[in-house]
Order: sequence, then C-alpha cells, then structure tokens
Amino acid sequence: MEIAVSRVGDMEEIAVVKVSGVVDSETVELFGETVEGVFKEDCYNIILDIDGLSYINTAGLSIIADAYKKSSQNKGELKILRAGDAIRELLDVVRFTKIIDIYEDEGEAIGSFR
Amino acid sequence: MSAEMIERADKDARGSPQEAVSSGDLYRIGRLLASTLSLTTRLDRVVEQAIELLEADRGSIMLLDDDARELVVKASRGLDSSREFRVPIGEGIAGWVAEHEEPLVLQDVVSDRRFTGTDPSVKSALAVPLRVDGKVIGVLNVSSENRKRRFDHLDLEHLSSFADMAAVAIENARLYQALRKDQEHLNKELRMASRIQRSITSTHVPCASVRMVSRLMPASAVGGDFFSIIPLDRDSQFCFYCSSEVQDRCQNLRTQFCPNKFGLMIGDVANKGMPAALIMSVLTTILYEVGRHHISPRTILNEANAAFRRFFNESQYGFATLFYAFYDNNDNTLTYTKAGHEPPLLLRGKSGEFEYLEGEGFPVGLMEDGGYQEKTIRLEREDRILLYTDGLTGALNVKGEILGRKRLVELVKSLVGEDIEAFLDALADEIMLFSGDAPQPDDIAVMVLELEDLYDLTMTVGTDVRQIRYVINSVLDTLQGFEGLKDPITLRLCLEELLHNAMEHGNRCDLSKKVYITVKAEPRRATIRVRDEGEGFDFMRLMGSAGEDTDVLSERGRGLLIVRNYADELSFNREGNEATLVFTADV
Repeated sequence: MEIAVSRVGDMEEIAVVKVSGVVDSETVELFGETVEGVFKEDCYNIILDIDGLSYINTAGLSIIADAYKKSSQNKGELKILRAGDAIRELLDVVRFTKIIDIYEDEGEAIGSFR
Repeated sequence: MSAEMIERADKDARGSPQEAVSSGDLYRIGRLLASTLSLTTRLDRVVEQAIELLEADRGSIMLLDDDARELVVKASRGLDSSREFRVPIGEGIAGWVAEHEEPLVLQDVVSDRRFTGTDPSVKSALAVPLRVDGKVIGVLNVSSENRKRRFDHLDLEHLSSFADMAAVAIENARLYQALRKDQEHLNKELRMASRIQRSITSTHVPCASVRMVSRLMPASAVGGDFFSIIPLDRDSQFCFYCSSEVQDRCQNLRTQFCPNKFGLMIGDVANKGMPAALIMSVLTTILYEVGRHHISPRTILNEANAAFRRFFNESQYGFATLFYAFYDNNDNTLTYTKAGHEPPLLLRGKSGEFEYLEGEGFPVGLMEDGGYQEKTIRLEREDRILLYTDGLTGALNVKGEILGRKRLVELVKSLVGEDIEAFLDALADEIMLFSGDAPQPDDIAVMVLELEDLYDLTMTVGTDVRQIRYVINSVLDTLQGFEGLKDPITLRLCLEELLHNAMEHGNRCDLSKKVYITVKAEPRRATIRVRDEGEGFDFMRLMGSAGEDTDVLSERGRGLLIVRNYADELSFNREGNEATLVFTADV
C-alpha cells in the first residue's frame, strides 16, 4: 500500500488521501492512522483517491465508513475519487455507493465541496 | 340338403380342371403361407391361392366373430372391398356353411334359395368351413362368373383340403398377433415399472465431505435389489443448526433436510422380477418413513421388520436382507445395523487394510424378533465403503463358478487407487468380464461411498493476523487458473473475513491456538474450509443479519454481506468452529 495526503482548494481546506495498492490486515492500520491524522488537523473535507487501490478488506471499509461518519458530524464531507471496477463493485455490495459520492474527475470532486 | 346338392353336382357336367390338386401344390402353398406371420397377408394369400387353385373368378375369406355371431369378410378378391361385409350365421351361403359346419357346392347359385346376394353375374360357388380342432373359425368362398366353370364334388374336396391347411395357418397368425399384443402391453408396463422403481432411489448425498457412486444391474427390467440415500429431517433434538437460536443458519443452507447427517440403505428382496419390485416398493416406503426422524438404525429395522410382517403376513412373500446406516458428518461416524445382508467392505484409505462391516440380525420379515444390533465405526479421510447385494458375490461365470467374496476382495484391492467413479466402472467391467455370456441369476446393486480425499492445500497457522496475507496468497496460488474466480478480490475478501473471525472470535486472540485451512480445487468448484480451536461461536449472530434496513455505516453485517455476495455457498459445522466457503465456476 502506498498512501499520501495532500491539500487542495482555495484555502487548502480539502485533504486528498491518495491510497493505492492493497489495504489488508497488514496495511489497514496505517490507512486508519493516516485518515485519523487528517482529522487531527481539524480537516473534515476529504477526497479519498483510490485510483490505484487493488484491494481493501472489511477493516479498511470500516475505516472509510467511520471517516464518512466523522466528517459528516463535523460539517464536512468525504468523497471518493476514481474507483476501479472491482472496488466499485465492492462498494456497491456494501452499499457505500448509496451514501458516498464517487467522482471520476478530481476538479469535479474538488468543486463539489463548494 | 347339402348332400343332395353335391349329388346333383356330381351327376352334372364337369367343368373343373381335370388334374387333381397334387400334394406338391399343397406343399408349395404351405410354404408360401408360412413365409409371413402377418395375419392380413396370410388371409390375402389364402384367398389368392384358393382362386388360383380352383380357377375361380372371385374369392373371399370370412372369419367368425364370436361375440356377434356373425361372419366378417377379412380378405377378398373380385368383390367390392370398400364396404365391410357381415353375414349373420345361418344366413346366405356362407352363413349356412358356418351354421351346419359342412361344405357346399352350388352349380347354379342364383337359383339356390340360400343365395341372398343381388349380383346376377355369380354362376357357381364353393363354400367350405375353416376348422381348427374341429371348431369352425370361418368360411372360405370361391365363385365363378363363367357358366362353363361349374364347381363340382372334386373341386369341393380340393378346396376342403386347402381350407384345412389354411385354417391352421390363419389360426397361428391370429395367436401370434394376440401374443405380440400382450407382449407389447407387458413390455410397456415393465418399462414404466422400471422407471418408477428407479425414481424411488435417491443418490444425492447431503454432506459435502462424502461422495457416493452407485449402480443397479437388475437381472430383469425390475427387481428386488435397492439402495438409497435417505435425507433426514431437520430436528432440533439432533441438529445443532436447528437447535441454534438463529434459524437464519438453516435458512441460509436452503434445504429442509439436515445437512450434517443422512441415512443410507441397501437391500435385497428375496424374490425376483415384478413381485420383488412390488415388495421392494413397500419396504422402501416403510424405511423412508420410519427413517426420517433421526431415531437409530436399530429402531428403524425393528419397526421395518414389524411393518413388513404386518403387510406380508403370508410366508410366501419371504423376506428382505438389509443394511441400514446413519452417517454423521460431525464426527465422521457410521452407525449401522445389518439384517442378514452381505457385509459391506470397508477399505481404509491410509493403511490399505480392509474389513467387513459385520453385525447380527435376521433378514427383515423373517423373525418376530430380528435380533438387530447397532455398531458404530469412525471413518477417516479417503476411507471407502463398498456396499453390495449378493448378486455381486453370486455372479456366475460360464463354468458355473460364483465370483465369491475372495475374488471380490482381490478385485477391490487391485482397484483401490482409482477415483471412486473409475473404481465402480472398473469393478462393473471386471464383473462383466468374469460373467462372460453366462446369464446372471440375480440382480446386482453396488454402492461406493468415500470420505473426501486429501485436500489440495492444507495449512495450519497461529492466531496472528499477520499470517492472513500469507494464507490468502497460498490459497490464491493453489487456485490459480480456477475459472470460478473472476477477480481474486472476491475470494480474498471472503477468506480474510473468515480468517479474522477465526482468530478474533474463535480463538479469542489466544496465541497458543491454531487456525486450520483446507482447500479443495475441482475443475468447477473450489471448497475452502477455515477451522479454529475455539469453543465455537455463532457466525451469523456475530456477523449480524444484513438486511436492507441495516445501517450502511455499521460494521455489523458488512462481512456477511460481502461473503454472501461473493461466495456461492457458505456453511458452518455443528460446533461453530468451521466455516466452509464454496466458489463455483459458471457453466
């Protein structure tokens, strides 16, 4: 798994968490910590860029769910950017797609926060 | 009256062929008639030959319709064949002949008061009775239109000789036709009975760990040998799933039968053919009914024995030998009772040793107290049981020798390395080879059961989440190329879910406990089992019911949602410490 956080937006009010590779039992902890680190900086607008994500386990899905919940509770939002077919199907299975918006274009995702 | 006629014919001018009918003629005609067994063809030929023999212009054959007391034209030449011609006995020339059982020659037909026809062209006529065993079966008629061809006494004799032969030929064809009709009817019924009998037999084994192949080789279309797998009802007293508070488990398996236990039986009714088949139907019905409710094999045989004696209290219906067992998937035990049946052969997969499953007990129906005993054996993986009826050991070769148990054991030993399907095929081939052209005296039923052989992957790991990736990669390697996995993500998700459950909830993170993983890869089916050393926990309750109303963001139910969505089957063992995942390839 590779994970990186960057800031975008006029006032850098949006955090882009770019995660790729495999989120499994060995990497899920780091994934959780990274997301938690964004919240610690009082940032609750998150774009989760999963373009290169090939696998995510249920613990990883729980982190996404918790992050969505937490950002909503703090007047922010969590959006997903670019999900591959298999991951997209998985997000459908666990019904995340019902509540979390998925964007194909980064600009569009950024724009959605306004 | 007729004597007068003949007398008159004798004195009058002779117009008949001067040569008498030779024995050569009759021989030739006899050969011609014998060349077909078809009644209609024989009737036609009789008329044709009669016309030729007597140089007549017309001819007809009428057969007696016993019910209606009428003569019916069955074949004719020179007559209007479009209408059916019937004559009551006693009416007309033919009716007169049939009634008086005497031949008749008329030189001038129209002038005879017995002539009831309207065709003035008929001049002279001969009518002779067709007799079989002194009984009239019909009348053979010929007539001429030519005034110069007048039949006489000699013609009458010729036709009478011919008629005697023709009558036998016709009667034989009639008997043959009736026989064939009966035979066809019987065959049709037998085919139907055979289908019904086959439908009684069930070969579906409800436990995934047991494979079964079988064959029934009846000596006739139907027979008294039988075997079947008997699904047992779900019962909370015996079934862990059914007694569990979460009924969801059973519903998830989508079957009304117990998935962990089943009955099996093989038997032989002491009789052959249809009577045996009928008794077999009754007996299997009894066994199905008393067997479904999870009582013991011994109790089942006691009840079947009593019921059999109630139904067939006359000794002529004999008895039936039977082997009846319960297989329990939870501890791989076979509990059986034997009622005078050939002892099944147990082949130990690991050691290669074999033993007979012996047991005391009289055939069902023979004694008021069958003296049945119950025995339990534990089976190991790759163990094989050969169940059979005595038609197998009693198979005869052309020298009149029987196959016997010793030869059977040798055969079985030589085939032990084969897969059970190939094993049974080869066994059946060997029996046929042994028997050759010798007709087999008895039905043969064979059933082979096997506890699933070794897995393609067996892993044991400690309770450590860091092992999960290693396990998953090993499983994926094992299943490389398996068509059922469109995307490894599916298997990975399911497997990871189960491994986490086993470690966290099963072994309760106890580092001293282990997790066992087995994988069986078949061409279109991959079976993955995950077992822990915990005391067992309720997967379904833990994973929650994942209904539409469940909170999307709640962790509860997500794992089950994923596994249910991606795996083709998910089941758990009785203890609750083993989960089985099945992936199948789309056909």
